[in-house]
Amino acid sequence: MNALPWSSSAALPPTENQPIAPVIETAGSDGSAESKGESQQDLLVFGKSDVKIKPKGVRVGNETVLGTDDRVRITNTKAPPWRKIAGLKLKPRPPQTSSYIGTGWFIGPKTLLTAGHCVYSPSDFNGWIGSIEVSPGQDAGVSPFRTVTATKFFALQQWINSADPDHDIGCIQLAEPLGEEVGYFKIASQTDAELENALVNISGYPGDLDNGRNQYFHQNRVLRTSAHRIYYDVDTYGGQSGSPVWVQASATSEAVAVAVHAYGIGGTAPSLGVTANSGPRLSPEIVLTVKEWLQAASA
Amino acid sequence: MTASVPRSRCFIHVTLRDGRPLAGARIAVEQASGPVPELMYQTDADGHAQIGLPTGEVRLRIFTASGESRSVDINVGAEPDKTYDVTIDPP
Repeated sequence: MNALPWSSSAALPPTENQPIAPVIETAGSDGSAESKGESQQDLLVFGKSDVKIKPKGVRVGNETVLGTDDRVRITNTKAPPWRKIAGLKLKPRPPQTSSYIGTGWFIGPKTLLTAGHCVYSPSDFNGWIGSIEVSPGQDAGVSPFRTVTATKFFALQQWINSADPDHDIGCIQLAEPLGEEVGYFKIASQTDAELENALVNISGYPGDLDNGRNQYFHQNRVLRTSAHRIYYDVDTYGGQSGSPVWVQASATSEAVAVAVHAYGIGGTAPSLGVTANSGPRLSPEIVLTVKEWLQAASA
Repeated sequence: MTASVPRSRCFIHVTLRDGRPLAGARIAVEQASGPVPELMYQTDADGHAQIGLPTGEVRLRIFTASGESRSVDINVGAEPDKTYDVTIDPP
């Protein structure tokens, strides 16, 4: 099994990276920063369920709050896992002056994963994004840690070449190891059997609530999987592109990210027969590619 | 899987009824003929935002700084780099 081809916004070609061992997961960490107050971990869902957490409601349009809005604000973003998730302010290269809100999450000391369209989009910002302000655990518009500006990005080649939603995954590299403080998610490729009926958690920065300044969480069930996507009945909105989609076997087990949220229901083909939001799945090949990105950050 | 649908580079210019540009407005794409990423787009000081959109009917929701929102429908044509003027009532 080989990693997938990818490109960098920087001048250095990806071929400088060395081949890696074919493992399909990365390590996670809760970070070194002190955690005080209520963790809100009671919001999380674990394991699997044969039934949906809530009935399917009536939905209008492609946006993606399903029936009643069940999203919950995270008020203690200094605690894990919430502090591993960052609000992103995307700033295009001059002369473009409009901007964008997205979400990213730490997967290593200097590395965040996000949607490919948060770092590379010819139609939105004429190619590679210029810079991204990364605010881990952003609350009321401010990071309780600090905001850092990133200028180095990676994306899967399939996303760059053909805007393939199945490969809409990108990476943000930081110059400083902020992830050592806030922690980072473990990622792993899981089998169809492992993902069937799995309960998934998503948290990010929706722009329809509080001007995109606060983190909101929701959870529900995997409705369907394909080789490259995971479809779920979890409320999201614009601004949550790039959020982590994670599973957890129990309250005491480690969180494992399995997809990157990217699309509302407009990204789900009618032929699938489900009304769901979705994100590209962290397949074994993609996890191998992400490991190359992690290596590039530590080089 | 969902096939990728080409998105054209579009420019949205948001003004209030009195002609003032709406700076810092947030724009979500609520409905379109193909998959559109769940980004939130934000206008600049002149009320302009650049958004990649598929052709056909598109419903945008525009949020003001006070958190109120208005939905607006536009018809995106095949020509690239077109500016769509959107006027909304002040919140």
